[in-house]
Amino acid sequence: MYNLIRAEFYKLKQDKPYKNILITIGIIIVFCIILVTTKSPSKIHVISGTIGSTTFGYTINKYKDINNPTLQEIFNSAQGFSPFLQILVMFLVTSLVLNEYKNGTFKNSICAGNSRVKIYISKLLIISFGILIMNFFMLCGSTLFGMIFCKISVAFNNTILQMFKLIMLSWLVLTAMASLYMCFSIIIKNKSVILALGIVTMIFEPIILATLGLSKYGDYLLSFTLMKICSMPLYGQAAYNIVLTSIIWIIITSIIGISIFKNQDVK
Amino acid sequence: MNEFAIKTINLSKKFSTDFVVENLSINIKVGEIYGFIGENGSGKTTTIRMITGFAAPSSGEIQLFNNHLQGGLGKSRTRIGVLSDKPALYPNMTYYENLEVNRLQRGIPGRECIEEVSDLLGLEEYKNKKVKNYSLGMKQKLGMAIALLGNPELLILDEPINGLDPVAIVEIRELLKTLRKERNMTILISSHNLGELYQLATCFGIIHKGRLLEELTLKELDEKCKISLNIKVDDTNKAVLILENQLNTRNFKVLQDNTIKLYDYVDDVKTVSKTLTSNGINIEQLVSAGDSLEDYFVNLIGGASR
Repeated sequence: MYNLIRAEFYKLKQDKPYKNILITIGIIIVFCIILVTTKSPSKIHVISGTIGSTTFGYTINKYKDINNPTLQEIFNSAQGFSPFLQILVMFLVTSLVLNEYKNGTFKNSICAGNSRVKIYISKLLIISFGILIMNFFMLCGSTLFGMIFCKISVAFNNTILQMFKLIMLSWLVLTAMASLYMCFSIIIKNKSVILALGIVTMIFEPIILATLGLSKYGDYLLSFTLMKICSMPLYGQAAYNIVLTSIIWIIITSIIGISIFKNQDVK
Repeated sequence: MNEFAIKTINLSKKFSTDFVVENLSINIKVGEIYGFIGENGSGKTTTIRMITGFAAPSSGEIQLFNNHLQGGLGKSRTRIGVLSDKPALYPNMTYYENLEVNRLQRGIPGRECIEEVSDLLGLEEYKNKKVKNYSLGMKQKLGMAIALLGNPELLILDEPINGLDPVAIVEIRELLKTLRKERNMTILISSHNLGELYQLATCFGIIHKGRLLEELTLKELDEKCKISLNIKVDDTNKAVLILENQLNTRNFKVLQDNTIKLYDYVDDVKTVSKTLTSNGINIEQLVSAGDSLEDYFVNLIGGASR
């Protein structure tokens, strides 16, 4: 397992699509900083809607006073880019999983005597690690550069702790999403279909829940959960539920994915 | 006791209702070069895929180094190097990076093994080139280098000389012979190039429509491909009776085109000719010839098809 993780880490380091993803996140950070430094007054709603009295969605450039942005607000503005991060996760998973099928390189891992369960788990672990870097880079990068360019003084108080908590929560939800996409990739083996399915789900899942009045089930769905993390402050039980939901998603999709991959003919 | 590197017992693979491989039992002893021969779609690659773990058998058993348990098979596979029909490579990496990934996932300590196989296959000249820019022959060489990484005891090569130029083919042939001689490496090699296989292999397995037709050593093959008299006459059935009754031999076979291959009397053409003509047989052709592996294979699968 240790050898496989080392090999997967090396592959991630050398992966061209992953490098492109990090460049894209760099562009997102620049865009986020431009918005706040140019004092652009308009909010950008990426996906948003109202369920009952609560407004959900991803909002970029959400400042009470654009002339005096706070650290928390810059962080929240960066969180508004999370749907793009979700799409980038789709690209990462399809690149790391489906390219192995395309190039036939799964065969090298299998014929080296590694168990397929371990191959699957090590890949998921490295994808999760890749997502952690992406998430950290996007949210902390925006906040850090925002802090520098807007000359905000920082005190290590609850704000930092809350930001760290949100980064970890969205990382866990994105890992659960990656696990789901990985499971689909193992079954469908088609990049375009996975990307289309992922984007359609991301956009329509909250809309359908709102339209049909099924918002109470939203807590069990990943896109809706991510939206919730980016929309409102989360305390105690709500954060705990998100952790639990994500872990359950990871376990279920991994079991399905592994059982299929274990008996699959690899070409 | 001879240890078997590979032993399959009634190995079968079924896709929906059709058997691609059916009750295949092959035995490859340690230190042998086993030439696996068959037409396209005969089940060679599927058999190799089952042995290497890329595909699961529908039934039957695989033993690698006398180990047949599921967990043990995985462990035995660490002693194998594989070059599949299409080399499995990362196109955006250089040859060195490709070898490094494989070194890491096999847990081979130190990078000396990379230098060693690079030298062996002459890969250094492609140092800064990404694999996506390689020719088929270069990819094949890199695939071979990956298979040889970590000095495996068993090498499984599916069509290894595909896309290689004649010089590279000779190089690979000599390399495989050296590996067998110096490291007692067992090699399973499937190829369409029977002439090449004949120069390399020490035993052969001939597969046709998923079934093993014959397994024979090079010595046995040479015996079977020995010099014969090829006789073409106007009445084959009558000629066969004459050979049996008057020349007292059954050491012949009738080929698809009605040519009789007679393995006796090869030094006494005159007697054969005289006996046949005196019995009213018109001889259209009477030549002395030896079978090549190709002839032997074609005749064998021709017989199996009929």
